[in-house]
Amino acid sequence: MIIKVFDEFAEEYDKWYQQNREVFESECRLIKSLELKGFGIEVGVGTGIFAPFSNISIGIDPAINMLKIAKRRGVEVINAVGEAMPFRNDVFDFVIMITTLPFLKDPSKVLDEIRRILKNGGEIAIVDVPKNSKWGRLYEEKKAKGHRFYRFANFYNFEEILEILNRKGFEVIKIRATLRQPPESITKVEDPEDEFKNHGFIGIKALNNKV
Amino acid sequence: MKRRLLDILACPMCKYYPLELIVFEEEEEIEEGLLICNNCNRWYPIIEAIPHMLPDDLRDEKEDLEFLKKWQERAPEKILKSGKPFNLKG
Repeated sequence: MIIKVFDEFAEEYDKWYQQNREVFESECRLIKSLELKGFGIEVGVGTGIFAPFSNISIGIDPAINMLKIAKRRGVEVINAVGEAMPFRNDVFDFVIMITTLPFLKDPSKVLDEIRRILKNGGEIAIVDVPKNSKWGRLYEEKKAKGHRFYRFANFYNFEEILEILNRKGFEVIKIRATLRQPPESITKVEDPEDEFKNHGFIGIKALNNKV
Repeated sequence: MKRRLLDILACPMCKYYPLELIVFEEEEEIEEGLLICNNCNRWYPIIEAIPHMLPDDLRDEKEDLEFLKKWQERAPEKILKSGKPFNLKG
């Protein structure tokens, strides 16, 4: 169901970022500051709007209309889901998911797949809106009101995301946080900080140690 | 789809690799074609240069069959007759 909604509103999804430049710019700076290197993939790449900042080579998404936009942006795309990735073992230096975790049908399975396709010593980056922030609460309200995207979302607290990564055997090595300004009064672009203090947007980078 | 992508692809269902590639139309990249898993006999279409590699439960049977019909002159017998999850024999 969520796949169809993202397909139908593909164009609209990007428009929001264009209308919220301070948010978009701050988020791009955070993604850039994760310093992901090598051969990378974004799971849930959508329209590929963050691709220039994450340094990815490939993107997958189940929503084909969003992928067509990503392809026009120069991303090599595949119509696929994180729960069943069409890749060999040990091929990627990094995997990034940007505001994708809340929409996954089976997050545990996706993380197992990510572990499988990452090289030993490869990195996973989870970038998202934590539930325990003013921005997270705003999205929770939208979800409660039946917002077309967010009614399918399951947001996580910052600590929950750390716990999920730990449970799956990833070793957290970097934390970035931005959007200290609340949603109702954001006026300027922010630089990312390295400690979570109920920021509205976070990035967590973790190592995949296979042995 | 660029040809070099084949180096990293595997069947999303059974994870077998390498996949067999059949090209129907190629310009700068492969515009239309088939990716075939010779282990589980699944096939995946390449449409408008995008490989469609969803698991069985998320595939669109109608669209998939239309694609097979469109290329039935050039698709291999094994896929037309017994390809998974859908084929022209039903």
